[in-house]
Amino acid sequence: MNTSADMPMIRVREVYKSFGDLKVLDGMSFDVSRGEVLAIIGPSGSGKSTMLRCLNFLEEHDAGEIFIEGEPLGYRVLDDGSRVRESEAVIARMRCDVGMVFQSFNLFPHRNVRQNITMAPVSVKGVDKAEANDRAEALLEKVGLAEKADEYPSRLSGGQQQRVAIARALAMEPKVMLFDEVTSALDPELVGEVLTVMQQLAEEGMTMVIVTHEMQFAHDVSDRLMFIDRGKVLEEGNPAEVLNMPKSARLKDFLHRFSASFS
Amino acid sequence: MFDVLGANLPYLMKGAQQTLWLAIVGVGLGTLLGLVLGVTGAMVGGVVPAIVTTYVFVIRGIPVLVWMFLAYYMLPQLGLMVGDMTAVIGALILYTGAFVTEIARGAVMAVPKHQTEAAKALGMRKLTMLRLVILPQATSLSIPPLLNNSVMMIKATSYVSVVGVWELTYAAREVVERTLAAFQIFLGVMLIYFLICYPLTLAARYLEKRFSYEH
Ligand SMILES: Nc1ncnc2c1ncn2[C@@H]1O[C@H](COP(=O)(O)OP(=O)(O)OP(=O)(O)O)[C@@H](O)[C@H]1O
Ligand SMILES: [Mg+2]
Repeated sequence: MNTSADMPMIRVREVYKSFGDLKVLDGMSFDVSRGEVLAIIGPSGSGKSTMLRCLNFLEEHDAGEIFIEGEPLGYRVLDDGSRVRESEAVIARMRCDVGMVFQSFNLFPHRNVRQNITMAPVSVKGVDKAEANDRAEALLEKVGLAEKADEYPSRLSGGQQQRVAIARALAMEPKVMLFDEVTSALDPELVGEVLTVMQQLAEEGMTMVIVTHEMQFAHDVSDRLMFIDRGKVLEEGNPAEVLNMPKSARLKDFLHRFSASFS
Repeated sequence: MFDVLGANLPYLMKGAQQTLWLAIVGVGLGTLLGLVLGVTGAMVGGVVPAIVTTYVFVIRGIPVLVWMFLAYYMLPQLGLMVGDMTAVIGALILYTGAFVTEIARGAVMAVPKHQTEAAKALGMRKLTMLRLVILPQATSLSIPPLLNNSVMMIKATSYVSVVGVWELTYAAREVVERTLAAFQIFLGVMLIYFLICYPLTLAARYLEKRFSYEH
């Protein structure tokens, strides 16, 4: 058995997923190692969100296996090849290690910013309320919103809401953070403040999987870049190489739309 | 000019007391039943939603008056020797419950899916999510329709007089038959029903404020 130190943080093996007749993930395999930042790019409908959502079991894969630090996620595959679904308790526990930030922020509108951040640590992990509040303050400081603790989400700009969402996910002290096009719903002038927070997280060594259309950001921040198309990994590797020297026609075609060189 | 009403007011108030009792027990318990069934129907899988839907469909599809007749005449025939009062209260509870079930279920389902996904992604289990994310949001959605429903059902308590259960409307009919002063008596009755329903409107307004949040 490997120790958790040399085990990949995330291991995806031959994952398949269909919605009815539509095959969305067609045998996806990849690893994310500890502290690595993986960027995923690909055309609309290629399965990026679905793949990301499988990584915290919001979407349930039909076949294949996903491991978080070596522990199977959602299903346990038995020796005879059959699968057993994990209990809700086990799935919930594993989700605590995998933070997720959504395109549409999804803050809880009926709670203020501080409560949004402390809700899960207190109710799920049993963190002491005062301690959770202190940590919320610290996280808000970190995302540059210390003065917004008492505001309700609806009073914040999109960029501020998204930074609160990041703080909320971080409050669970996850081992991995998933980002699904977290700047796509933002006005252009608000994109930067969110990317800055993400960049800072990356520099601190957080393991991150980022689905994005921000090619320059992917280039600058990620350690590895993966291009997926029709539910398959078509190309992956060093971001600069993948972006500047695409091999497949599909990627060339895709990058053509961004018509920029990345440096 | 309102001397007949004045003279009979104590009698009418006794009837009002009975109406209030029917409202509190019948509509109150019915609302509780509906809240439980509605939330369960929306949250639990398997056969539960189908059972809840059938209940709602069957109960709502028949007028409450008919349910009262059914409860009144059928229960004894089935060997259940319940009093008149129990029979009509049972009908009120079931009937209120069916409407409230729909309100509660609708409110729970109206909480956007991305809210429950955010809760799940934070490691919340179903009950925690229900308590902290779904119910608070569903509550503010369901207060206005719940109020409407309560007022409607309080008025429906008057139907129990048809199977001979005594309450405000029954009392009023007795007085009118005796005094022929239909206008002032029913004017009085109208006022009394209003006085029973109005506090509910106030309470709902307060609750709505209490449970609302800025959108
Ligand atoms: N819950 C669902 N039910 C049915 N089809 C779905 C569901 N979720 C996604 N799909 C479909 O699966 C395909 C892949 O969707 P996915 O959201 O993973 O794509 P994506 O790469 O994230 O695209 P985008 O860049 O537009 O966000 C799409 O065709 C989408 O319509
Ligand atoms: Mg997507």
